[in-house]
Formats: sequence, C-alpha cells, structure tokens
Amino acid sequence: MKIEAKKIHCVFAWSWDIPGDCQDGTQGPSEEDVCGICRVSYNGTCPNCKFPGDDCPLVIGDCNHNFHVHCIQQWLDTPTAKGLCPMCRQLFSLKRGVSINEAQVEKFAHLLMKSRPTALTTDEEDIMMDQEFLVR
Amino acid sequence: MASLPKRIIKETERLVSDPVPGITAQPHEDNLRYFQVTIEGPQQSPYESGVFELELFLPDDYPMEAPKVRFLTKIYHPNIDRLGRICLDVLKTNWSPALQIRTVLLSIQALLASPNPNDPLANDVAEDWIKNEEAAIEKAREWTRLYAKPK
Amino acid sequence: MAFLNEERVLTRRLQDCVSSVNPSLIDDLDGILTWLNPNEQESNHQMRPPSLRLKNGFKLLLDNKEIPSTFIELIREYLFLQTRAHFFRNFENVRSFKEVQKLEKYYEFPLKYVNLFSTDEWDNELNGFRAYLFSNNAILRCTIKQRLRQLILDDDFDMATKIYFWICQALECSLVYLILDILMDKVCEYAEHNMRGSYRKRYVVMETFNTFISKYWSSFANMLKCAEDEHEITTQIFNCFEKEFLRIRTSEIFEIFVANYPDSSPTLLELRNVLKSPEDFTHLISEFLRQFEERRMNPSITTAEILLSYVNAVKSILTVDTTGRYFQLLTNFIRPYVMERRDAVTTFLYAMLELDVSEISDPNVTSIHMEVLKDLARQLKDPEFTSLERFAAVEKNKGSIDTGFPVLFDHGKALHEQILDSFLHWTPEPSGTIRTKSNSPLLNKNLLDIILEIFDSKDVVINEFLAIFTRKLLALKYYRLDPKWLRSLKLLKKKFDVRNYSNGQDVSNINNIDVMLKDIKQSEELSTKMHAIPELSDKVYPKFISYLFWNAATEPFSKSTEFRLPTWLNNEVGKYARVYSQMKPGRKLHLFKYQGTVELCLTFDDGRVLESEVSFDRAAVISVFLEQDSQQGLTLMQIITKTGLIETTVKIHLQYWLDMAALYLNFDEGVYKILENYEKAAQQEHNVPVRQLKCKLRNIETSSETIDNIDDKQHQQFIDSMSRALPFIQGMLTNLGSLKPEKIHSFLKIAVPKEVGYSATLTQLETYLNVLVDEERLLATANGSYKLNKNTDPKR
Repeated sequence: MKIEAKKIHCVFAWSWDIPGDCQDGTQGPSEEDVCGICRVSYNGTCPNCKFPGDDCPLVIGDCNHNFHVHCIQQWLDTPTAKGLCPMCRQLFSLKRGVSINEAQVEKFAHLLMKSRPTALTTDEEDIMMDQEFLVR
Repeated sequence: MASLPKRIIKETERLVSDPVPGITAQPHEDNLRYFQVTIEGPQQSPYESGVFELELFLPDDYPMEAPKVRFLTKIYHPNIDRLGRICLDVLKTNWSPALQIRTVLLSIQALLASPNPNDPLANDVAEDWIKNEEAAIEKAREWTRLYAKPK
Repeated sequence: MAFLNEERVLTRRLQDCVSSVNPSLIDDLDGILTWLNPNEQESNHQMRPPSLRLKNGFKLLLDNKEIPSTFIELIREYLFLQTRAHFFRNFENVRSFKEVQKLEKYYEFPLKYVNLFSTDEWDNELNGFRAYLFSNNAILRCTIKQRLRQLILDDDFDMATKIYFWICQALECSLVYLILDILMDKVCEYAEHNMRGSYRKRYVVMETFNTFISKYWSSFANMLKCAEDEHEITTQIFNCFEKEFLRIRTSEIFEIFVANYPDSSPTLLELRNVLKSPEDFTHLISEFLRQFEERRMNPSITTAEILLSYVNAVKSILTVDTTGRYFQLLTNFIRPYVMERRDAVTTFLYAMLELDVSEISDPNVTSIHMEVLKDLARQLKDPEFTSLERFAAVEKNKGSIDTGFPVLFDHGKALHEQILDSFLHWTPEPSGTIRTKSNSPLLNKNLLDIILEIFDSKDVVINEFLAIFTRKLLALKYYRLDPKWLRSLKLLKKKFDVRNYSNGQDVSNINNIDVMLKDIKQSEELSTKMHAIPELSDKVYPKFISYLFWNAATEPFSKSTEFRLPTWLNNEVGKYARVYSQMKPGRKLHLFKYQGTVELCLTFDDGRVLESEVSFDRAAVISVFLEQDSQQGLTLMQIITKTGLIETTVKIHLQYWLDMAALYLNFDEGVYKILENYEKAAQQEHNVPVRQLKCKLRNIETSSETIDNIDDKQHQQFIDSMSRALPFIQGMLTNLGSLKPEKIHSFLKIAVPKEVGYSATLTQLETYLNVLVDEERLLATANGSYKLNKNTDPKR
C-alpha cells in the first residue's frame, strides 16, 4: 500500500517563542504568563491594540522580564520610569540575541537614550499631589 | 468614556472576590475608576481601634501612572497631611506598573503601622512626633477615637 | 258538573224549541248537534262532510221560519259551549303549530256547512283560544318559538312569516324582541359559516354584512314591519357581525398568527381595525397563548418549529397591535420554555445563517427539520415587507394611513443587502388608529431585536454564534468564507455593537471575530508565500491562529489524548513550523492535531485506489501499517502503542479502514493487515468472502460504533422489507453481470413498482447486499461491485 497525501489542511496556534521557557512543543501554549504591565497574556494584545502578533509584539528584557512592546514603551516614556523595569527596577534594556527582540532593538536604543539621563530628578515637584485630584 | 482596560476589570474582580484582610475597596457605580476604600488601623499601632475611609482614583494613564489615594477620615500621622494626602514613595517616584491597587493599599496599611517622621508630609505632626513620641502617639490614638469609625 | 248541567239545559231548550214546532224533527236535531259537537265521537271529528240527511236537517231546522229565532241563538250557544269544552279539555295536549292549525281547522270545519257566525265572530272566538293557548301552554309556546327560529335559520321565511303573524294575531301585538333575537342568531350563524377560515380575505366583516343584508334583510324588515332603510337595526347587525368576527378569529387565532402566517396577513389587518378595546386585545392574546401552549409547547415539537411559530406570532401580533404592548406577553410566556431547550440558540443561528445540513455538525443539535429551518430562515430574513407594503398602499389610498411607508427597494443595491437593511431597519407599521409618536422603545427596535428577546441575554447568542463560527473557520479550507457568513457577521456585529454594552462588560468576544478573520486572511497570504518556497510542499494549507482569540477552539491538550503524527505528516507540517519561525521571528507554532484533515490517496497492490479525506488521528492509524515492522500485521495493542491513541478511538478508526477495505483482520493471527489484494485475501482466508469477515469482526468489536447494533427483530424486519427488491436485483445482475451498489440503488428506485415499494437508502441497500453475500446469494468483487453467485442454486 502506498499513501499519498493530496492535501493537508492543518491548524497551528502561534505563540511568542520565549527562550528558557521550557516549552518543548508537545505541550500547548500556556495562557499563564501575562505582561507585567497590562496583565494580559503575552500572546494577547496590549490594551490599545486589537490584533495580536505583528501589530503588538512582545519584548524580552535583559532582566528576563517580558512585556508587550507598547506597554513597556509607554512606561519608559513616563518620567517616573527613569528607564527602570517595572518588575525589578533595574535599568531596562532588550536582551541581545533573541529573535523576538530583533525588530525592536533600534526603537529601544532611541527610547532609552531619551529616558535615562533624566532619571535622577528631584522629588520636590512630585511630592505635591495633583491639584486636580484634590479638588475632586 | 472609553471602555475600561482589562487590567482594571481584573483587579477589581479580584479585590472583590479575594479581599485583603482589613481592607475593602468598592468601585463606584457610575465611575469604575473611582473606589471607596476602608483600611482598618493595624494592630499595635495608635490607629488600631479605628477604620479609616479613603478614596482611590485610577487616572486615565493607570497603570503607567500611580493611583491617586487620599484619606477622607482625619488622621494624625506624620506622613499624612490635613487634606488626607499621603507621602508614600510608591505613590509617586517609586511607582511601577507592576504594582496594583492591592499592593498600594497594603503599603498604606503598612505606613499606618510604622510612621516615618523623617520623611514627613505634615511637618508640624512630624515635629511633635520627633519631640515627644509618646504624646504624639497618644494624640494619634485620640484622633482615631474622635474621627475614625470604631472597628 | 256545571258544564254537564249547562249542556243538558241547552239541549233541552233546543229540543223544546223543535218539538214545539214539529216533534218529528227531534231526531234531526240530535243528528245535527252530534255532528256539530266537537266532543262527540260521531261528530265532524274526522272532518267528514255532513251526510244528505244532515244537510236536509240543516234545511229543515235552520231555515225553518216556524222555529223561533231563539233556536239559532241556542245553537250558537251550544256550539260555543261544546267547542270551548273541547278546547279546554284538549289545549294542554297541543304540542306544535301543526296541531294548532289542525285544531283551528277542526273548529272551523262545520261552519263551512252551516252559516251560524259571521267570520269576525268566530275569529274572535278562535283568537281567544290562540291567546289562551300561547300564554297557558308553555310547551307549545316554546315549540312554536323554536320552530320559528329554526325556520328562519333554515331560510324558510314563508312559513316563518306565517307562524310569526299567527303569534302576533294571538297576542294582538308584534313580538319585535323575538324576531330581533332570532335575527342576531341568524347573524351569528351566517358569520360562522362565512367568516371562519377565510384568512386570505380582507374586509370580511363588510362583505359578509353586505351579502347578509341583500339576502335576508327584506324578509326581516317585513316581519318587523319596518322600513328597509331602518338604520338602527342594520347598524346593530353590523356590530353583531364585528363581534362575531372577533369571536371567530379569537377562537382560531393560532391558525391566523402562526399556522397560516403570512397568508393570513389580510385578516390580521382587518383584526387590527376591528380590535378596539384593551379587553378585546387581552382576551385575544391570552387565548392565543393558551392555544400556543397547547399546540407548540410540548416535546414533540422541534425547536425550529417553536422558533418559527414564535417569529410568526411576533410579526402577527405586531401587525395587529402596533403599539407593541402585547408581544412582550408572548415573549415572557414562552421564553422559559424555549430556554429549556439546549439547541434553541443554535437553531436560531442556523436559521439566521441559512446553514445547509452539511454545515451543521453540532453535537447539541441532534435532529433538525430542514424544511422548518428554511422556513424560519425565510421568515427571519424577509419580514412580511412585501405584503405589508401592499396592504399599506391600499390603506393609503383610502386615506386611513397618513404616515408614509418606507420605499421598499432601491434598485441600486444588491438584493440581499436591501433585505438585510430592511431587516435591520424594520419597525412595526405605524397604526392608523393608535397614533403615538411613541415613547415606546419598541418602535425603534427592529425585528431581530424583538426575536432576540426570546433569549435570556445577547451573550448567549453571541457565544453560540462564536462557537458555530469558530468551528466553521477551523474547518474552512482554502481560506474563503461563504459570503453569507460575512453578511451574517456584519449583521450580528451591527446588532452586538460594542457600544451597546454597558460599562465593564467584556466586549472582547465579539472583537475576537475580527482577529479570527484577520488570522485567516494572514494565513492565506503566508501560505501563498510558503508555497513558493521549494522545500515546502504546496499540498499543505495551514492556518495560523491567535489561539487566545479562538475561544471555541477547545483542543484537548491532556496527554491522554495526545498522539503521534505519522512521520510523513509530521515532516510536512514540521517544515512549515520551521519556515514560519523564520518568516515571523520570535514566534513558534503548535499544531492542533485534532483540527486538521488530510486528503489521502491509498494505492493497493491489486490496483485499487482509495481516496478519502480523514482526520489526522485516522490517518495515523492507517499510516502505522507503512512502518517496516508492520508487514506481518499489527495487533490492536500494537496499534495503540504506535499511535498513542486510546483504544476506543483506535477501534473506531480501524473499523473505518476495514469498511473501506484498506485493512482486514486475520483471525488466526489476531492481527490487522493491509488488504493489498482483495481477491487473494478472500481466498486465503478459508474462502470466506471478505465482507463476511467484516461482519464477524463487528461482532467481536462490539464497543465500536457500527450499524449492527440494531436488534435482531428490527434487523429481520429490515431484511423482510428489502427482500421485496431481491427479484429485481437478481434480474438486474443476471442481465448486466456485476454492478456497484450505487447503480443498483438508482436502478431499483426506477424499476421497482410503487405497489411493491422501494424506499431504502443507499447505506441500507449496501447492508442488505452484504447480507446477501453472507447468504452466498451474491459475491462481492474487489472493486466494490456485486455479482450473482453462480455456484448456488438461485431458487434457494
């Protein structure tokens, strides 16, 4: 008997390939791991995106903390961030040599340049809380 | 109003389903970003006999920006001023989106347990505290009796 | 006693009168008195005309100038006395108008021969009797009234008029109330006869009224002694017809609202005009609910039928009651019942999506009546727009509707879009009578909204739709979705717009659809690129899904259902997974093994070619036979081990391949082998035809799902019914040699006469043919054909 496959219709689930995360392919993608900022699964989207994947990629930090790229960018954009990882408060930088990060490296280099020098600011201004809030 | 981010929904659900001991947080019916909070004074603190009311508001940028929290109940504490504003690093410079409403409220509860007169918001209170800690603690106890709801 | 005395006195005085003139005339007098006396046996009792002797007696006595004039007076007195005596003795026994007439004739008879009274005198006497009869004989009174009623109902107005005027005469007045009463009865009967069941006509009340008036009114007017243009009564008649119309329609309201909808539209529109008071409405609706419960809310009615009935009823009620106050009653009434049915939402969606039987593969829905489902689909998609439009136009011309009806179809648009649009924007027709600029939110709802109210929440519908949709997308081949799905999708998205959700509700479900559709689109783009890569097989059509957004993709992940893909398949899809990770850096793939299908082509040594589209696990079962160590056959356990599938699954798949004659079971060794050479294998296995082998196998593996699970009795019945076709099969095979079952099937359908009857399905025929093979009447050949077994006696 000879078997020939004329057509194969198959369904794949894609997920972000996070090295060290010991998924050997026999187990399905796990829903457990969530972005530390928005608390949505890595394989979902940040709150502002509709479509996962290309539109809303994941990045892996040097400190092995992972975020939706939009989440971490938005965080690093705030003055409070001071360039630190929200999880461990180390300076956040992209892990090298990880394929997930490849497309994001350039963008981040720019972002980190911008946020780091201003990291050490005085607290004086921040101490007084938002007036608007107090009026409410 | 834009729909509520999933993270806020999740946090709210968890606050209700799995509350922190001694702390309640109820979202307002009309504005799900606004919470009515109560914190019980920690044991062995001058505040232990009272329940304190607070308000918590999640700004549009939350979790990029810290929640805004304020005591509604008058309290005598070196890090809390007459308007109920709180001097707590995680609410300001040390905020991180990894923190949550839950952790913020826990920090505030901890602040009640261990006042820090060296990093004051209410300078007069802090001065009292440094000058005569016992008297200050007694005053804090009295204010709790006067203004906080009894446990 | 008094009477006897009086009679004696009178008789004596008469005799005295006569004897004083001529004593020989006494005998004649006696004869005349006897003949006149209604009480006498010998009288005119049988209404015999007087004899000659009597006639002579009349002459001698009555015309005799010698006899004193008091004699005539006395005779008259005598007749009055006797007649009255007779009347009072008998009046209670008079039972019918006929007997009344008989009695009157009896009393009048002698007077034809003797001229004793003027007509008036005797009439007065008779009228006295009549009045007495009518007021003192209750039974007679009833029968006469009944008779009168019956005559009128039977259209015998001549007789009726006669009786009626008799009564009037007797009572010396007219009985208008009686006639009016009967008139209304007549109206009811006429209404019943002419209105019931005529749903397709509008203006039934007016039409019936008109024919009634032209047919009967003059007769009634005659009896009532009123002018034919007496409006008071005719108005009453018309009102009575309206009342009857309501009563009749209420009694058949289920037929109108549901069973005959939309044919019943004309009567619905008429009902709307006739229904005036809230009481009428409430009564109508509650009667409808009663009938609906009786006719639809029982287990023998399919969910599709219930939903169809509901949709029809909603539309009907909205036609009748444009304020929308009443359909809510219906919804509330049947919602709990519908929600008890697990397949309600699914059925509704199937209808919405107009799915074919082939597309329905839902474990929750066991049986669906396709005709009903199609009907439901039609009703859902095409609200009775055209017919309403038609009637609205009529009304507009009559000036009773001043609100414009929307222009129905814009010729610039595709028809289906227009239907969809009209479906979305359909609002109940504005009413001519109850005009509200309406604060009722109903008027802003379209039909779909209303139908959806039957379900507890929109979420139920969304989730079910998502489940169906996800299944559909997962099973989709070549990335192209039927346009009707996209249409439905558009419609549902519009319905379930995110904005309709209150704050805090999870809206992601409906957004998932967009992600799923984008996944499919991107999969197509990627697969086109991938097919261009030389190392990849262009036979693979992969879908790459964002699994978090495919909620219904409930892939079993647990180890127990995990299985090993055949090597060849694993290689093909593995290559795809690698290339994917190159094209999409940072991503990896996980194959949903239970979602794939493969179109296989098996070629056997004897040249048989078998094509079949199967799931991956089914392909895995056949593929283990390709492995080196499988040449000597495999036991069930070996196959289980090799595939990693559980026993039940393996058995089901093995059965499939046995049925396809790709494998056979060698009993001696207890192993499954590839059926490389059909004829040879048949011989080797102790000359037992292979198909019989299969039957034996079925008996062993009872746990697998086979058609042999039918019990013996049923089986015997089946064989008996099929045996009628046997002569035709034998004849056919004698003439044509060998035939495939399909050929035999189509031939039998044409050839077997109706009287004999052949209604089997192809599968049933195949089962029967295999039985014949088992009985050695037929032989199965390698290419799936059957031929006669020449070795056996065909007469057996």
